[in-house]
Amino acid sequence: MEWVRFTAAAVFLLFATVMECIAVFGVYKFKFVMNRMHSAAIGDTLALLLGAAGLMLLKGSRWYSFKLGLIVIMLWMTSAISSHVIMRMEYSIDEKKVKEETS
Amino acid sequence: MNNAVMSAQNVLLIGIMFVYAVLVVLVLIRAVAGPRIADRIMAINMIGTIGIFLMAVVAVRLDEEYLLDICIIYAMISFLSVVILTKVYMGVHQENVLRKQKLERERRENGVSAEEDELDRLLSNLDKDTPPE
Amino acid sequence: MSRKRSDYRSTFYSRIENFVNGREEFLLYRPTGRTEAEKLESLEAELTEAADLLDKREEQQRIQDHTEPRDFLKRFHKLYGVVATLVCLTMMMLLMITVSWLPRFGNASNPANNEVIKRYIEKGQEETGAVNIVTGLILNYRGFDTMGETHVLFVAASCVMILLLIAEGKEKVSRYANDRQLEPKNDIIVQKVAGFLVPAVFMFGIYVILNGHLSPGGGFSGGSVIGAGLIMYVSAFGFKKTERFFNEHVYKIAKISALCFYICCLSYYFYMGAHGYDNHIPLGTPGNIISSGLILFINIFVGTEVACTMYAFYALFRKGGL
Repeated sequence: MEWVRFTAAAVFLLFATVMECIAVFGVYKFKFVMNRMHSAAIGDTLALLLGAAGLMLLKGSRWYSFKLGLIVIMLWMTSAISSHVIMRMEYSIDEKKVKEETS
Repeated sequence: MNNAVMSAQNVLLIGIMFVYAVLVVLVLIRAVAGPRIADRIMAINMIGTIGIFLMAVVAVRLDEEYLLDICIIYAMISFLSVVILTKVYMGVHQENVLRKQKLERERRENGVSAEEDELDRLLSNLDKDTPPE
Repeated sequence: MSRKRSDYRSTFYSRIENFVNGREEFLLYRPTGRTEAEKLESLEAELTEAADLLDKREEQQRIQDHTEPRDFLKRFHKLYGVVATLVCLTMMMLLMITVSWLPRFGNASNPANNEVIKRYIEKGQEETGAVNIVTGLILNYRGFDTMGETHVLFVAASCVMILLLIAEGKEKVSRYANDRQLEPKNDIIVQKVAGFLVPAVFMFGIYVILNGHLSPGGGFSGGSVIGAGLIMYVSAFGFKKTERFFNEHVYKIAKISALCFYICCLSYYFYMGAHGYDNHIPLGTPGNIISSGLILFINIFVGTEVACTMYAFYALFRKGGL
């Protein structure tokens, strides 16, 4: 039983690591700022959720699960807003470039 | 929990921490090299997220529940820093644009002024803030 | 507080005063909504005002530039870089040499392992009533030191106020209207999330302060969390809305009363300890929230002080006033 739980947690954590690697790879691969930002958002949302789920399974304690859930909720709210704010700054300081790229 | 599971858990957590440390270095390189200012802020935000996850892993490995409190504070502070940095930078950029317009207007009015190289120097300084991609 | 409000003209009371003096018809209909042309006009006026401010600052800069020889400064900058690098390298080398001469970490015969630490660890919980020994140590055994730190915060905030507070004039009015002229204001997405997040942050800070003697944390960390929450509120909603509940008046009262109560609590400890009297404040059972004597109250006072200082720094550097 313990081995089953450990394996499930390990699968979750490894998935989270792979997702974060994909995010960093995307940050290096794309040529345009907003595409890079999109790939960074993968690391902020999916990788964090998978990692937190893996740690919850690994520990199995109620307080840990509660606090990890709180962290996930908080980061999901704040990282979305940070992306919005960065995007707004990028658009407002350099409007011409965005219009050229998107049209 | 028996011993074999414990040692397997240790190996797993330490391996994940190593991978994440390498990723932090890679993102830091992006932050230093990033051509636009949005890249840098985004990379710093990403480092914050990875740091939060690393702290959670350390909390589970050392069995210290209170380290998770620090994660919450860290999430809040990285959000706060991004909001304020972008706000300040947008204001600074607007000021620069205004100043540039004023300089150009003065130049047009006066024709070729005596302080031409002075103006050129100022204009090139203004351009440095948003380097071309 | 003898300063008059900058927008006194438009308040309800000034209109009543004008009505009493016969200067204005009180019940007269006044259109409140603005037309598009008026909005454009006000926007242009704002922009020209900002350009004026920029002009003023540039003029100041030019004056300062001409008073100093520039070529000499350039050469001096290069020299400065070289000398700074040299000084840093020597400092690093000296520190590294010192570290290499330190005794091994964890050695039983180190000079740090003396009877003071033994006493703290063995009798700390019994004497102070705090489960978290560090808090008991900082606020009880070494209370004098912590009092000095709190005063340092107070003095730092006062010095920044002396340097940066804008007393009056046109610049003050224009800065008080909005935190900066050209920055984006009132983003509704940030406002919604801040409305959800700021109360949670405040609650977390209060939790950290009140559990200071039970878990890691205490007045300093909890106070800085509350200060960060205040800064988040300001960056989302602007200074005008923050002044409804946290203005200069509240700042003065909170900060000075916190310092005075803190000194009262500590002087009780000093008096009783110096004269060898027994401590008459019940310590309670270790582990409860209301326990450990005065440490809980001292934590609350320190937290208030630190939160006020954090917010004051931010507000002073952003707009030159509280």
